[in-house]
Amino acid sequence: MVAGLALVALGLGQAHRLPSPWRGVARGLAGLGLVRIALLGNPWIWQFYSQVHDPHEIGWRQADVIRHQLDDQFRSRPGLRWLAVGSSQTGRIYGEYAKERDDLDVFVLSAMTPLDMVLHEEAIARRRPAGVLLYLSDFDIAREPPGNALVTAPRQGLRLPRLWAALHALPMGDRYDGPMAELLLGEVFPEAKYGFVLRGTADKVMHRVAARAGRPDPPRETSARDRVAWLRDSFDERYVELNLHFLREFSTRMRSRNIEVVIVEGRYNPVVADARTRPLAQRVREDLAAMARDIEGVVYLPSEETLVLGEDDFDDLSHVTEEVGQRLARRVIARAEGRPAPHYNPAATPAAKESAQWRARAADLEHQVRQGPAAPVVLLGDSIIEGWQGPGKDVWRRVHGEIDVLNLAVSADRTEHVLWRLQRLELERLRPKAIVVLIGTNNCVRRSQTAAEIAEAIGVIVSELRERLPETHVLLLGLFPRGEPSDPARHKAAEVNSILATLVGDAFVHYLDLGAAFVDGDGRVRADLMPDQLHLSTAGYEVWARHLEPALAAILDSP
Amino acid sequence: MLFNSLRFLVFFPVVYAAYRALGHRWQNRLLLLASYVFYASWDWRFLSLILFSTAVDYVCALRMGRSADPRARQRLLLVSLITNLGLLGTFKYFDFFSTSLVRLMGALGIAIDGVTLHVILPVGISFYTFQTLSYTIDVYRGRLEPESNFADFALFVAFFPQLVAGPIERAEHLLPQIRRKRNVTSEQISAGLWMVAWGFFLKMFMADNLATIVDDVFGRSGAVDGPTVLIAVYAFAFQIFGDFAGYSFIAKGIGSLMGIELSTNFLFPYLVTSPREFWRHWHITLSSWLRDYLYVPLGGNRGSRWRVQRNLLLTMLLGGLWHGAGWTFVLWGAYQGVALAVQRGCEPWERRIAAAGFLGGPAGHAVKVALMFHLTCLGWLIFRATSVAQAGDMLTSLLTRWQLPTESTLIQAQQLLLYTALPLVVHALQWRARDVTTWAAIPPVARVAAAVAMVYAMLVWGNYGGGEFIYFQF
Repeated sequence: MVAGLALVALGLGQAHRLPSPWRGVARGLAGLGLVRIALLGNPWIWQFYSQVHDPHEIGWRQADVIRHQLDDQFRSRPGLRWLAVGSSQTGRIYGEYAKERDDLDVFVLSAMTPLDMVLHEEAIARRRPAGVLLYLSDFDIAREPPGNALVTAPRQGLRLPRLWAALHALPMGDRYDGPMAELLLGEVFPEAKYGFVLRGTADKVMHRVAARAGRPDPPRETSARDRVAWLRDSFDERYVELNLHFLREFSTRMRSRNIEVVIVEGRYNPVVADARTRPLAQRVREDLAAMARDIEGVVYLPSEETLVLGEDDFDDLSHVTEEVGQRLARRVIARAEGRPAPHYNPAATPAAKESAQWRARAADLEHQVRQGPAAPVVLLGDSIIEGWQGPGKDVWRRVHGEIDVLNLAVSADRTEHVLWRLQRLELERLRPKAIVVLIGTNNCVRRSQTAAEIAEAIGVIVSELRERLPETHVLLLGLFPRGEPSDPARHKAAEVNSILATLVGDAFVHYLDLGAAFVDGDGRVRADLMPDQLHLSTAGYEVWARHLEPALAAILDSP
Repeated sequence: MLFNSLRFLVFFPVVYAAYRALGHRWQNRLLLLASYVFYASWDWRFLSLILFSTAVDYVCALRMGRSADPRARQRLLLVSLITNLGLLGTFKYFDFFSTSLVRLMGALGIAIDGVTLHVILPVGISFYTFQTLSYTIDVYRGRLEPESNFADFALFVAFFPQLVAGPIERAEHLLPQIRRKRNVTSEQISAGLWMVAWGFFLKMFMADNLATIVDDVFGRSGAVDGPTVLIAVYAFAFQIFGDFAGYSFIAKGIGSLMGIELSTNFLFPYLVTSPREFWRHWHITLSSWLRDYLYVPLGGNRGSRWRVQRNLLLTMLLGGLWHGAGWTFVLWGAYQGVALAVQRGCEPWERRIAAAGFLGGPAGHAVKVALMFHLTCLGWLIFRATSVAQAGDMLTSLLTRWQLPTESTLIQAQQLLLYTALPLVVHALQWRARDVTTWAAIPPVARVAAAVAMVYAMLVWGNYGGGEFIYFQF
């Protein structure tokens, strides 16, 4: 910027010495330079753009580019162990974990493809990582590299001819002519490359004026295309070769800078996969594995070595949930560093839910515990336990009499939520004689959580109770049967129970599996007791109470 | 290849460097080769068409020149006319007339099988057909000596800057420049660069950006409210000017860089006060062609008042059809014809009003300019509409569906302002200097400021996606 200002001053100061046409040219160039420094060439203006622009308005890719500009202007960082490079999915996976680890950072560009990696090679290398982590799904490799990637890409210099040749080898290579022209122009004029910030600012002003003076728009008929169909349609075999070409190019360049490359097999939400995309995905896997074999220092991690993801591990079609992301990040990095995958059990990691309703209910229970009287019996669990205040309310009083009971269940809870709530519940105040625990059935529907992990999490809950309330008996109930006999969740629940049965060792922990009481001779859940095959009817609570009563009475009667 | 394409960005400097290095004869051969490469970049098959048309006209004109027999000359002219108009008719109008006939018969209750050719329209065919037609007609009329050098004549037909979208040059203007040795002066280079820059600015900044507004509104299916239609029509008026005048200026500028003066095609067309004046400032080479080769042979201004009116209407109808094979173009031509005829009819009144001192002075002139601009815009509405029905719908909206503008209309209004303000300022500078072809007449400070602003606006808002020039389809 200082050099630029000096040049402008020189141009304006010395222009009068030049002969006629050149005088104008010099002044023109100086004018251009001045405008450029003011609008694009200083750190403050990028600070301003990053504050003013919202990715929803200016575009996600554009917002990422603004952030990279800011990063480049301000940060000088020590070397990194790992730099995770990729699309917003990469940000979702590594973002949280990177806050914990100083030697891990992310380089995110919305909808990044291997072409973008090549284009941003310099910027990636400038962050001085010892290794890069790439998360590439079959979708990333089988879709058309978008032409507008070229438009906002950093300066390419001498690498341009190769890029041009590679793009022109495409079946429809001339489609990149327009973006290529813009890239060329941007090599000389950053205005063409970063003009979007100025256009975005003008658009913002115009929208504001319009919103103030105009009538709201009538709804327009828009043809909303199914996103799944759109994703499926973007799979195109013709692009696989090209994307692999760019990936190979990027990997080789990283290797020549002595940077390790770890390619992690990525997955998009499996609902997208169909008969056409599956063979393509298989081909991509094989090609990526082959590439890793070919280039020394490139490692390919298939999903079996990290995490196999199911539908409910995703928030939408392409982004994993934060929980799965955290877990994936840890496993990938452990594998990349040659360690066994870390034991990270999401079911046993305390977690809160986002919903306001859940938080209100949790806070209310905390309040009850803090303010209320002591309770000899405490119930802990999910909706099935919570039902004792619903359809089971009268049943409890009839069977158990007037024992004071405090129900601390929250519907739809999983073990991780109970663990989170346990941290905040001042159970010690209650001095209970018995705690009845039934939790875990909601964990069973999550494909990413295994029976062993769920059982472990229940074990953690039990040991926390034991630790904090050494005088209290824990009455641990095995998970109730649910769904059809063929339901995978039912199998998982049974597996959890078989592990729980082996867990007990302490005289204060009592394990009780009442499952058999709710099924008929064929192993089917009895519709009169569990109408929706999950929750109990009043009759169901009746059966439960009768089976629970002797065990509870024994505990309460003990000294 | 388009002027605003990457290929042209490579093509032209290469051609230009070779051009400046070569002697006169080789320059012409180079330009001919370059022109054919330029044309073949759309579709190499088009080359056979242009070669065929060139050969026929070359031979016809030469033999016409040698023959003194009026009937033989007439026959030769007929061969040329039939060849050129036949090609144009087949490639451009056959499907249109065929489907229109089927529909007409259908409306009369007669079912016939239409034949359609489904041929692609070779770019620029309307332009070079008219250019060669003028040549053979001029030779026939004895106004022009036929060209004996085939390569020079072929270059006259195919000269790449103006091949696909004009200006439509006359042989008497362009051929001598091809024949004689050219010296490129520094004034020509400076003017050429200015016109090329101005042309690209009009196209990429103004026209291509306004196109998004126009395409949005004319692409909607439901009813559109009045304010939106108004904005879209204004936007189209500037879009078509930026697009077409932009192309013409680039062509003229490129010619100038090579020492060849092409005709000025646009001269402040929106600052005129009457339809007749409009056609002297808008697409000047087409309107003068229509005047010399259609209107005058029809009888022109001679004969009764009604005959003159008929000639005007007929000329403009065909002129409308020249723009495209569609009923909206015919309707637009009719509208322009009626406007010219009405103006002619009103002339005595006009003189009387002027004599009374009404609408004199700068304010009166401004009112007249504004009025004429809106008459032109009405024409553009018909011109841009995708069908006659849509034109009717839009006109109804414009007259009846008025309400407070919606947010998106207001945004479009602001965009219209954004994309026209700077071009209009520069245009005003040119108007003040009374010269669109050079920047020498603009004061130095304004010149530099305008250049910086234009470059910046183009860099930031320029559309490099490679939008086609509208006039290619004509």
